[in-house]
Amino acid sequence: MRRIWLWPTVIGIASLTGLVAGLMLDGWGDFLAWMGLGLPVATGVIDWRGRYTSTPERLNDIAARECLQPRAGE
Amino acid sequence: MSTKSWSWLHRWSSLVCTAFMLLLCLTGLPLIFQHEIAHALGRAIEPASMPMDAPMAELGAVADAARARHPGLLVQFLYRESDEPGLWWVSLAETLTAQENVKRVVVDARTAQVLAEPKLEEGFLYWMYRLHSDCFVGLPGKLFLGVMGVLLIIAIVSGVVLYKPFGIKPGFGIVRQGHSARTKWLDRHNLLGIIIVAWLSVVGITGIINTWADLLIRFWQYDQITAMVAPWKELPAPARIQPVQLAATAAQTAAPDMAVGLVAYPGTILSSSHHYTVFMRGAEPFSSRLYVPFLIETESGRITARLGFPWYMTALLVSQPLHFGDYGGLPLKILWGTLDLFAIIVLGSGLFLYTGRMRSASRRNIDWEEMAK
Repeated sequence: MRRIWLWPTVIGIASLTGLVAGLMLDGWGDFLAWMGLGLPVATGVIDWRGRYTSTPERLNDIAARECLQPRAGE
Repeated sequence: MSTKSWSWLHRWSSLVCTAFMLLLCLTGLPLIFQHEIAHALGRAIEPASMPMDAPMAELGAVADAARARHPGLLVQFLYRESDEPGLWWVSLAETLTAQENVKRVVVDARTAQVLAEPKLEEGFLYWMYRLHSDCFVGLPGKLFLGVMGVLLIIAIVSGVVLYKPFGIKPGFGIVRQGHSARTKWLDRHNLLGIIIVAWLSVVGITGIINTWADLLIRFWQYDQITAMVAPWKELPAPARIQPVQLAATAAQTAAPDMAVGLVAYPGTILSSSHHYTVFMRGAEPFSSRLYVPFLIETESGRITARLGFPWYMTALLVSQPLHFGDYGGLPLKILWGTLDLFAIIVLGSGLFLYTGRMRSASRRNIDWEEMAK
């Protein structure tokens, strides 16, 4: 459970805190709003491209790359 | 409820509202930056540069400057933004209650000179605004978009429930590469969907509240003003009308720590035929968004009553910044715009997953629930 819910919970609380703080306070409030909403934006951008998770496909992919691109010096 | 029922709810609530939500996200994007766009197009209005403590002009002179521009029209309201107290927006129309063909003249609060008469009912931003707020069909359009907003909330709730079965395999933040395009877009849909949940819920709910703005203001007028002005109802029109500055000064004296935000002339939808209504605004970041309204008799220039500003009006006024994202400078607007783009991707990928599902179901009769395992 923690594996999938920890970050969404953190991001949700950060977003709501930022949304409200920006409205209630000047200066610091704006900063909290940028941090709070910056977190989901950063997560989305960083995780957008994706990564290889399952071994067989990953190996296939590496093998394909190796075949297509001869190593330096060969 | 089983995963299957939640899937059904998520699918249909989002399918019905997707086209409208895409419209709202796309038209909302330029609206986030409307001040910057107006500035870039040279349409920004600046007051004459004068020392901050230069005395303010009489409100009567401000209204007269606007009237001179449109002789024959009646002044309805004087309004100024909390972050630009040097500019009065004067609205004028053929009748005091007209909502169509309202002219808006911007007058310098210190020199009482007309600065501009922005053409608010044309141009790109106006089109975006109308498509976004009522699709050019007025109140029914607003209420319809509000209903679409309720469907969005249902889609969000069911989407959060489905995040667990569909997100458990890859784990949080993992977009699986090297699988089918479908898996990749399912993961992106889940990832972006779950990280914008809080923001999108707030923007969605505040958007729904904004669709009720006209109704809430009318109800407030009925709720707060009608009973208060009953003793004047049968009286003939006032013999003399005190100048608007006197009304503003009376309210200012009653609330010395606040500033005049809006003055409604007698006979408008926010006042009565025998009263001005002066809306005072606080000085703190939060209280500057809320009003304390005073009803001021036109004949005597005295305060009849301090009107209530109940929770539903507070909810409406707090909903506006939370929907527009215009309260944290340009950085917040850029974040708002990016989250809006994420929402567009969630909507688009949702549609892609649905159409892909239809295609594969007809081809191989596969079970959609398999994706969750």
